[in-house]
Amino acid sequence: MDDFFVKKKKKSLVGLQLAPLIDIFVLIIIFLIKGTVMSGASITPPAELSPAKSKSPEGLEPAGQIYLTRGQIVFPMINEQISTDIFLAEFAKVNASQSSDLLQSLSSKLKKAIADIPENEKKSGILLNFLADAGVDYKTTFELSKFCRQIGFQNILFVAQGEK
Amino acid sequence: MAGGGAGDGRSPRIDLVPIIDAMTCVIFFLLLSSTFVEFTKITMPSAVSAVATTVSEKSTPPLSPKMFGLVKDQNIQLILSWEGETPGHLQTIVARHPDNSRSQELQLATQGLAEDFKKKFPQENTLQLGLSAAATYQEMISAMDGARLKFSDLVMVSWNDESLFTSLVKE
Repeated sequence: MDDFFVKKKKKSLVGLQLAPLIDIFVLIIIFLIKGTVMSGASITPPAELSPAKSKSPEGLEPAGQIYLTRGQIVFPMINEQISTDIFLAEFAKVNASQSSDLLQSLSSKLKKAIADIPENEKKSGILLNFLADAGVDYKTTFELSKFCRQIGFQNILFVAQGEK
Repeated sequence: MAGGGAGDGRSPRIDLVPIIDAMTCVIFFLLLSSTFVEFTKITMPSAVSAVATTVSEKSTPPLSPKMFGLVKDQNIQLILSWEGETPGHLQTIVARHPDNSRSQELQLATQGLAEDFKKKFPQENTLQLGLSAAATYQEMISAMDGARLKFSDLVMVSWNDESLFTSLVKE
């Protein structure tokens, strides 16, 4: 009886094992996603600002920003800008224990912006990227840094353009 | 065949490859999502009363080194002064760059002063740094670049301190 039926030869199919292939691809994709460094830190200064040069190898930290051109102070965090001369005059008042409505308003807006920063981004302190024009004087730089410190920025990172 | 076996009398064969792959995935996810909790052990001292005598050590006054860049026409006079038991100061003069370009000379001069100070006081890691009101942001960055190579912490000093250093130079 057995001899009556001709046994069919099993076809040896060269099959591609998809399951392990997909698993390995999933692993690779996860590794790539986790390994990607999201720099997140970029600065787009005003066109009239020509940044200072530095040979420091340190990179940019993701943080709030402030731009100081030769005539203007720009706060991109709150979409505000103020003339340097007006700021210095108003800040001199504050230093002399007088009140300044303009700086009070700026201060409250910046404090609100600081409060809105997620807690996990405040782990290494409340940082501020400070980018100024190469020709801005030290007095303005110092006074503006002092103002920022009074608002609540704990670390001020002075930004310059890398030079080889 | 209904039992899921091979049907030819042999024991059922389990395909191990996808299981190992799935397990690798699971372990990988567990490793990534695990948080490393550090348990702290606090050992309390036993409640025993004792008499302790304190010996007051001779406290040395802090050095508080300050570096200041005095702008004088087309030059910057760098002064590094310190206090402590043996107060003193170092100074050098560097020409300014009129076009606000990066000054390698200023960076090297700052670095040189910092190095000389660190040879005397290697334990000091904080430097207060300031410039005249008329100095530029570029000059501040160049000075910081030089000082950062020797001091881990830099603290800004007000331009108002210029008068202190002017009198120091006159001495």
